[in-house]
Amino acid sequence: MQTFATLIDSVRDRLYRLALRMTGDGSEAEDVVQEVLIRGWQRQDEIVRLDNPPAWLLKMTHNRAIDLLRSRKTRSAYERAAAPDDACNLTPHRLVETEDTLFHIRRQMEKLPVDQRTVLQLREVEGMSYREITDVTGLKMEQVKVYLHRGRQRMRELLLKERIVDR
Amino acid sequence: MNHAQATELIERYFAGETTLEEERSLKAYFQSGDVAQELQTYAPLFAYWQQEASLTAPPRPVARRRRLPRWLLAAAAAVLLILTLQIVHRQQEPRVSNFPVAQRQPVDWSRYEITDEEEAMRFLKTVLKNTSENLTRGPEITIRELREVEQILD
Repeated sequence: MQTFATLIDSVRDRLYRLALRMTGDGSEAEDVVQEVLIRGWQRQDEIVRLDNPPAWLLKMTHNRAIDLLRSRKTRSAYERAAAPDDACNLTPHRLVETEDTLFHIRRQMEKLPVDQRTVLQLREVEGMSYREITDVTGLKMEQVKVYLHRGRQRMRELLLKERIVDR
Repeated sequence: MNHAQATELIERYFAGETTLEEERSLKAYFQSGDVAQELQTYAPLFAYWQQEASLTAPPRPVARRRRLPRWLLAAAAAVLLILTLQIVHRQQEPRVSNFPVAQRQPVDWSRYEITDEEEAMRFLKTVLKNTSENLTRGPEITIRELREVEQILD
């Protein structure tokens, strides 16, 4: 059984990545992780005895990020009215450059619904199984598979539509 | 993994039918750099997943121990030493309340009273002489200063 400090060292980056891609904001992601770690610290004896402590912490991160997004909803309605989304001004020529390509993919990822984005993040970036993803997100197995399939298709369409490499 | 296997796997990948192990193989294939021409379109996506996986949380702020300057530590030590020595010294001194308290005694002026007539006369003459000298000194000073004023005006 690992200590809580060791557990945190091994999982902190994963928590941050999930929070970052769910909230889309680095400082908010840090706040989310901080809150999760504090709550985890208070229940550390219980957590280190779990079968999969990282999954529990990821679930806490997911839930906290969802809370944050809900509380942000009202505020963002005003913000959208005041400052519409900035249009992607990348020219086809610039899309050839790798950095811009990755940036463009990220922008498309950010446009996905949060559940779909989260499932993609957990599967593609964190390499988690369907079962682990259902534990973290609370989604049903079928939902996870559908979101993953739709997310990948969306990315494929983007790549084929843009023909990034051919330009 | 050869190009044919990768081509077959990529279709299953987008259909959501690959296992974690197969996805790891596919990612390794795209990372190798030797990618079939017809699969180059998808290379940025796998590069993106790889880049995302390398993201790390910002380092936690380390609470550094603040050390006081040496001169301040030396001054504090000196003050502490002086205070300690004073306390020790005060403890060694007899307490003020242990000293005998001086008591006020009424003065017996009768012991200094002049009883001899000649002595009384000498005392009186001396007093009158001193008084006379002090009284005449005032006009002398006034006259001297008036002369100085006259000299200035002239």
